[in-house]
Amino acid sequence: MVVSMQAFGTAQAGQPEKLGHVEVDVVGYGRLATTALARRVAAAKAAGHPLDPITVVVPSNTTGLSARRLLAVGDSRTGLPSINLANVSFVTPFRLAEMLGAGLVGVRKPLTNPVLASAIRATLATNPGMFAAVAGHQATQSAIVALYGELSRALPVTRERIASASRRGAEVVRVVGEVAARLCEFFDEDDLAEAATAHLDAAPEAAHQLGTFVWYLPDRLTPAMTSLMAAALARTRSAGVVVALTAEPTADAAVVDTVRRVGIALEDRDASIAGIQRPSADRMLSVSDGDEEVRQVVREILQLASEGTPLNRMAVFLPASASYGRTLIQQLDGAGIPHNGAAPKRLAETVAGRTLLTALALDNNGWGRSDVIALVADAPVRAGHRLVPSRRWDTISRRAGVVGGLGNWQVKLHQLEATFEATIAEVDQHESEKSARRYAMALDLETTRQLAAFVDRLAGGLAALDQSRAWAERAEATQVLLDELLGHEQGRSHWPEFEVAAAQRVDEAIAGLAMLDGIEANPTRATFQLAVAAELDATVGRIGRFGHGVLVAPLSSAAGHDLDAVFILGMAEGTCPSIRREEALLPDIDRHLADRGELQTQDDRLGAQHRSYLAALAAAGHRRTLLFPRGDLRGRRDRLASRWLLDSASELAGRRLFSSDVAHLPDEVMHTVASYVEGVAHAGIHGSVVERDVAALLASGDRAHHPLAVGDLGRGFTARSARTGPQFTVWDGNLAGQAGAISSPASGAAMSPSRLEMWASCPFKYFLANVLGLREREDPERIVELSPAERGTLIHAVLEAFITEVLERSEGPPGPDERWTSDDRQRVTELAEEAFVVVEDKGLTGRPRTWRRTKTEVLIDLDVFLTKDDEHRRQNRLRPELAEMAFGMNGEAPLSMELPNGRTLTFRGKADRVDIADDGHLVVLDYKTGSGWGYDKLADDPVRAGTTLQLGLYAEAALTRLGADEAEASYWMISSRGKYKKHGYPWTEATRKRFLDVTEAIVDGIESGLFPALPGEYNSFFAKHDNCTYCDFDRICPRDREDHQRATAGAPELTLLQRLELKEEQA
Amino acid sequence: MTATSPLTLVDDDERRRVEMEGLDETLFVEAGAGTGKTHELVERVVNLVVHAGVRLSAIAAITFTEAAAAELRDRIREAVEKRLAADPSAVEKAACERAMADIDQAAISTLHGFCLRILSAHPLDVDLPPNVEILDEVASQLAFENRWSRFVDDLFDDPDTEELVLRAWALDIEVDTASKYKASFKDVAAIFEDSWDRLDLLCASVPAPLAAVDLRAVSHALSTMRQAMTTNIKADDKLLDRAREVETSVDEVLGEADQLRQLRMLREHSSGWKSSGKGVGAKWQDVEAARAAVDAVGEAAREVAERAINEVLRQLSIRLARFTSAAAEHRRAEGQLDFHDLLVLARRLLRTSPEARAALHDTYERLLLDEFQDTDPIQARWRC
Repeated sequence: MVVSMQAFGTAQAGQPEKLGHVEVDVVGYGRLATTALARRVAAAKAAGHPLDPITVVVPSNTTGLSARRLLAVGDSRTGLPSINLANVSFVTPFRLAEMLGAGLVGVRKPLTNPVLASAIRATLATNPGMFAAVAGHQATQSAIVALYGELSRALPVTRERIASASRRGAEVVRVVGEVAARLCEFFDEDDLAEAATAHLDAAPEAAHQLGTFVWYLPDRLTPAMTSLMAAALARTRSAGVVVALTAEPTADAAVVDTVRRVGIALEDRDASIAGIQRPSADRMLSVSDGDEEVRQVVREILQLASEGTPLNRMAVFLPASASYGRTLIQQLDGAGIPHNGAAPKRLAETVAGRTLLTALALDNNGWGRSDVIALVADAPVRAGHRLVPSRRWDTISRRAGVVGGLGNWQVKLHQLEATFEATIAEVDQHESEKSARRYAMALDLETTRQLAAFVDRLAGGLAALDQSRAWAERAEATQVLLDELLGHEQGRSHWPEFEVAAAQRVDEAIAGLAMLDGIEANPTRATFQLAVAAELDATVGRIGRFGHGVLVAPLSSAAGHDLDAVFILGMAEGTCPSIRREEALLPDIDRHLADRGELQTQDDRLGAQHRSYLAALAAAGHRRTLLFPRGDLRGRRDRLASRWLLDSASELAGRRLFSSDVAHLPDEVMHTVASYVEGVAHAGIHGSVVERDVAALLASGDRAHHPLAVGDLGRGFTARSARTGPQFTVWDGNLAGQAGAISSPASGAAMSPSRLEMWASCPFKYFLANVLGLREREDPERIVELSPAERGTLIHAVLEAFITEVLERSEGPPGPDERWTSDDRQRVTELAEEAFVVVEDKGLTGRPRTWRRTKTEVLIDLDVFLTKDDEHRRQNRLRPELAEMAFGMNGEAPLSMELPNGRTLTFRGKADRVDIADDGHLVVLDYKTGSGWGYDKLADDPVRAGTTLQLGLYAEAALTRLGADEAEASYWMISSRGKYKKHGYPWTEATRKRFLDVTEAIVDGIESGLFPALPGEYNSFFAKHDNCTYCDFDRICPRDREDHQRATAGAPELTLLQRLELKEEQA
Repeated sequence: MTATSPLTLVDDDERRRVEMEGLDETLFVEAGAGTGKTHELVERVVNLVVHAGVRLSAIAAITFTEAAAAELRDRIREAVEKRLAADPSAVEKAACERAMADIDQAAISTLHGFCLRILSAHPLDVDLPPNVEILDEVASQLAFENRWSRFVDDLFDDPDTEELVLRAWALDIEVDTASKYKASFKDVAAIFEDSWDRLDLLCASVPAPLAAVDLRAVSHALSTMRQAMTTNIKADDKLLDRAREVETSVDEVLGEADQLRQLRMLREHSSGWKSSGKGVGAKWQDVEAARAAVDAVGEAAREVAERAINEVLRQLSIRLARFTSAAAEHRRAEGQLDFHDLLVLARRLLRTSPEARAALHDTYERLLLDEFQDTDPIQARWRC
């Protein structure tokens, strides 16, 4: 059949040309196409019985749905009549092939993506050829999947040309041929189309079931599908084609070519489409970036809706390479705007998909602590019938010291379990009533057991997957694993509808893998995971109900819609049109070797993109809006306006515009929203409650006192303003008047000197640590070596145990001239080995290698210490008297000291050791393991402005305990770095007075709620302030902490800090 | 300035030469910032298309940033459109229309973009998978952090590196930084990452086993110092006190059996082994000689420590170089490349694949480079 069109494109005039029995309408997209279709269906109805069948072939299911709805209800506003659609079928070409060809493909099975991918893997595994280095890569598999359909159906001569053009071409043709040979037992859409075509040719009466045949909006089809359409047009008694064009030749080329292939020649093209105007936008918005595009489009939708445009008559189209589809869905949800359309997620990103992939990757990732916690925290993972308490599990795994590796998980959790059990048993022995502490510990024990059981089950599930061999077995094991983690189908009932549907698709994808055994025998675990990943790298499908709310769809699906308002986002070069990249395996140079239309070239793709864009514009009868993102925040660069946007802008401006003109366009051509703030401030309608509130605040002169500035927001405004001022406010750490919330160190239990020292070094640190009770969490897996604090604890523990033993000996401690014996040294080593086990159980040792070295270092330090101790006792005529002398703890009475103001304070603490000299004076020692940096200043100020209070307190406690007259106190550095030196001073009346003065100032400071941050000097080497370098709270302090400190430096409240400093007369 | 400009500039002749003349010749243009180089480049491209019969698809125009490349493409499109609007001859009109059809696919890009184009056309020739993903700055940094963690894990777990790691530890060489504010070997890793193609020599090096700590020079200097101390005339002198401190400290080091501990002590204490100008001349026979003797002990000790540090750094560097190169190869195999990978692999492709060379030669007749001054060594070689 050859239909020669002489003049058309006159759908507006309602005079479609009829040639033979095929009537062809050439119209524009949008309402023009809908009207033509309506007329054609109405004419068919009028020509026969109202229930005679009519078959309308549509480019996609959504186009069919859209057309069916509009035709059924009509549009009274524009005079589109309602049509009786009884027995009118809207089908895609594939569905048509199914209707006519089902049952004609023999015993062959349908070809699915997993089957095709499997055949490709099997082919590459058998004979990889040029693909040897990349045969196992998912991209290789995907690239061959992508070209397989086209190339396997290309004419033999085309394949020959490509094979002889280059080595790569020959290899690609070979692989595709071998894959096709493996798939001879399967059929695809084109096989179905060919079978249907053959059936129509052999039995033309089969076409009668179609009734009147209408091909609506022809677009590019595969050769087999095109042949089917040609056969259907030829065999049906009444046939029509509604061809939509855009009046842009390069955009229309594929459509013209497709209809030409079915025998409809569109001649004198320019003249024939004269009646069709190239669609153009009537509103253009320039915004700062992609996020702002989304916010702006939501405002535009709300504005139109408020003016009466129904939401279901609006659509937002997104170019394929625009990456903010998810943000748009969030903003629409946030604004409460119903919507429907393509889901912006892939299966791998859904709850079920990502849970499965994370679980499967655990073995590869070495069962990292954070990987397991991420698995349970990122989805409603179940342990038995209950949801996993992921935060508690995180805490327990850190506490157990899990660093990664399945064995480590199991050992550490069982160790922690045993620790809890032992502690609870001990508590039960001493406490008759169940305390809160015991209750908490029992809860932790139960949590630890649950986590351990979960890890065992998860490991079992993965082991079962490993033990499987065949695809079916592995698929079954995978499904069991997923069900174990997320529960069966019925357990997902409380999930969002979208996630339930996605989980079902994940289940189906897993089941689909079970049928690969006939193609690719006994896959490895890696191959299986590759296949799972490939299956989950698919879009989820649709969200929302079609026709309900705003349509959000890819630009490529725009053809066939008929709406009131359309918004197109991402109108920047590189996004719309998108950047074109050569296909690596079958580039254009090869594709050009085929007959026109057989293999799609980049020009064809650009044409299709342009056609979709213009069809999207044509789809809107009332408002066509383009949004241009001027910048790319992630890429930190400016963007150029799309040339297609410039076409519309040129029409509005009445002259040809170029990119360089965009920045200077008048508002009637392009409305520029300068920034987010401007967008919010000047929006006629707001996209969310938050936006409305922000706008109100922006308009307010006094934001801190605006009625909306309540809660955290109000506090934020107030803080920002207060911190820049000279007053010492609550935002700078002035909690005066709120003393009730702060427990005084002078009230209640005895206090520790280290807390007071912390206040003296930085009152704000004291506030965070002791008033708010904040602590930094450890990541056990990232610990490289034992921390200095833990090392100090370890050495203290060893020496405490040793000296205590020595003091309990019947012969008493060694005298000044008695050296430690080799047995003593051996005993210290034994005690150290015991202490090492304790640290190992806590999981705080760092890496095995550094831990081994740390242990050696500790043993050496202890040994050197014993030698130095011999010297210490001999030179100072000393013998040990007390070890770990406690006061205010371990059942010992606290130490009371009267301050200059008459108040009495009680202290608690534990001095590491007290020696007594031949002359009766005491030497109090406190072990330290650092470098001793800063302690040389003790000679100038024994309390170092309040940051070193321990020594004096210990000396005072020793004097009280032992009733001696004189005492001196020293820190003893037990490390090579500290050169095993001692730093201290004699405890005299003067030092005692200084101690009490400073302590009084600190207590006054805490009680008066004085908690300013004292960052200290800025250290350019560490790029930090001195007091912040090793502070756990560095990250949560304001960045401009030094500015705040400087701003309030003159505040009268802070004069109290001067009492910490040593005055000249004291020095 | 073009001929239609109402202004006449003193360098109009030169500008015309750039735009119009010698269109089949190689030309080097040197000009200051803001003088209109890019404008002349655009004009030359358009004239190549309109007057010299060169297809736009046969021109590679390379510039420095993606934004500049996008702008260059846009300006060429605008220039061609304006020529079309200016009533050209039939031949010129045909050339312009062909250029408009070609412009989207024309090689107007950054050098990295051009490399990606070549690699994408011949991935299998350099064992790249068909679809290459380019990691942006954020993704590259994340990938680097992950790789660095793996390197540290390997280093700490490999039984062959025990002594190396412990020496680094003893010598205070921060392998993995505990604080981002502290310099560590990770900084070296970042530099290696940016130049991984230049690590071949280091990768091929076979590191000698770590030498035993040799303190003979320190011992000798100590003996000399002791000798010098005998020249003291009056005992009450700070130099003498200092010498005694040094002597005690050095003796401790020499008496230490554990080599790692010796190194650690040298590292920690040797900076204080110096005379610091102490000593009163009248109390010594030759105070300068005595000071020099004290200083010589410190210098000998620091030299031992420095040598040990260099040795450790070299071994770590070799391991890191091998790891970095292996990681680059892994990125290649995975098809996830960073910007530097693009340059290196494209160079490798052209060196090893005659087919790719021939294709490049056949495709591009003209090469125009903007911002030539902003190139690093590999880019410069590429462009040559």
